[in-house]
Amino acid sequence: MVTLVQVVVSGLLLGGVYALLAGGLTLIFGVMRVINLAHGEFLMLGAYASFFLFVRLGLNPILSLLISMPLMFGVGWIAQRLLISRVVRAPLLTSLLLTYGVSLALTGGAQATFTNDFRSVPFLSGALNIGEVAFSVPRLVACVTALVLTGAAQFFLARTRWGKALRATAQSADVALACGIDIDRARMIAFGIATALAGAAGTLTSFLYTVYPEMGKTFMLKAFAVIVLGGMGSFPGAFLGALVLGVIESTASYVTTTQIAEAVIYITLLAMLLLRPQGFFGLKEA
Amino acid sequence: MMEPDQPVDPILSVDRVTRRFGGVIAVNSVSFGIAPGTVTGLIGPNGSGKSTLFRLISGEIPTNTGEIRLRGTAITHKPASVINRLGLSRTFQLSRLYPQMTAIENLVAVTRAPAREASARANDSLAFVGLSPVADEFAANLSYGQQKLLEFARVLMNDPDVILLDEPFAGVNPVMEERLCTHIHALRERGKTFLITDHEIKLIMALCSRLIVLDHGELLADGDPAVIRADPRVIDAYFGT
Repeated sequence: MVTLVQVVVSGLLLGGVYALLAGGLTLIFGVMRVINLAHGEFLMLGAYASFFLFVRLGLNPILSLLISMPLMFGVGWIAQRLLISRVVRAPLLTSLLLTYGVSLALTGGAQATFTNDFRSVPFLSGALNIGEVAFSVPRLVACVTALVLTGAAQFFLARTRWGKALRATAQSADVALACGIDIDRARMIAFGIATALAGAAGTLTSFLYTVYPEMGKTFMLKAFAVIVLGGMGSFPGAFLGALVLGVIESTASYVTTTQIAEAVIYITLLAMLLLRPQGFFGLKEA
Repeated sequence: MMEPDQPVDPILSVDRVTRRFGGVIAVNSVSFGIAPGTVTGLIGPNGSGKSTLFRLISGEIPTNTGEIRLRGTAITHKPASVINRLGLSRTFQLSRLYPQMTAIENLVAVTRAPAREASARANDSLAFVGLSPVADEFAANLSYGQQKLLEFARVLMNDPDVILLDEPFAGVNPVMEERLCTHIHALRERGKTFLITDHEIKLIMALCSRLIVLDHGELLADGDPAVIRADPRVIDAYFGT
């Protein structure tokens, strides 16, 4: 029984970080109907930012979020303004090709700049025991930070005027435009926030996993699984989906092996697509 | 209130506006001006170009030729959001609310007022149309009539000077119809200008001081409702020969 609780706790801690990454991805899809294949590479940039701030300046990765998140927001804002805005109204395939190109360019750029070496951020270690259940301290810190940031993003979307404008744009861009909402600005804000969240997820993964130029792809596949589970475009759905995926991955890793656990994730993804394609919170297509 | 015979600069003017979709001319060189503080009806049979003209005026689609002015400022090729900021708002033929937002969120989402003022203004607008009791209800859960009223409240959020109502009475029960008419009169008294299109001719005749009739994309008649009602061209357009 204790083992089962331990496995679920580990999964939930992992899910918190997935939620942060997938939240940004689903926000972009919701507001722009663009599937951003470069989202994982924004995570990678965030991870490298924290790595260098830690190695060169000795900056605590959590504190480095104060630098990396505004920076990544700016990267997202510019990417939306210069690139994504040109394909928002184009067929889905166009935006897929563009963001895939951005993904390749960022990966290639990182390989050329940082080399293919695996790096790590030796920040935090050990476990916190509560009763018979051990909480990995790095995962606990990462999860709590991810929950705070996801909560802040959800608060922004639910409570602020621009948050409501973003949700209005997500539900109907044409009506939002006719109602006076500057949807171009709304889209830049959405992309900026999503990129900042991806960068923050990168920071958190930098002290949980190794940092390397292609790390984004692994997390990107999981983020896709999360938003399929939660429902494309639904921020709360992404959160729930991430927790479910974390627990599935953790349980499958315990029962089988890490490699088979990866397969279980994608079997779950396929099952969800077949049985409930709209996910937990997504709306059924008319 | 303005003197009846005194010429006034139109708050909204449409000058030889044309819009084609491929080989079809949806709106053909239509011109008219709307005086401030008036309620004008835009009528015509199905396919006459009313909805296209609404979309052209509100900036949803561009004109091919011609010019549209709001308070003398050309708005012809401005984006819909800019036209809205300049003081022209519209409702839609089929209610287009944000179904996954509450009634009050639907209003706050579109306002440009600071957060605190936005909430106060949204509450005022809801109270004005009698929807305060359902402020926290999701728009999707409201009755069709309530959705129409909510959409009406939404156009008021940015205090526009000119309001376009696209079939506001379609599918609305008589009680809601009466309520809408009361709101329109009240707002006109406050100086708001309305351009309304609807198939409820009796209501439009009673509500409007002037009617503009379109047929096959062209302006067929323009004038006093009593005169329009007796115009054989209008009768012919509606009922055929």
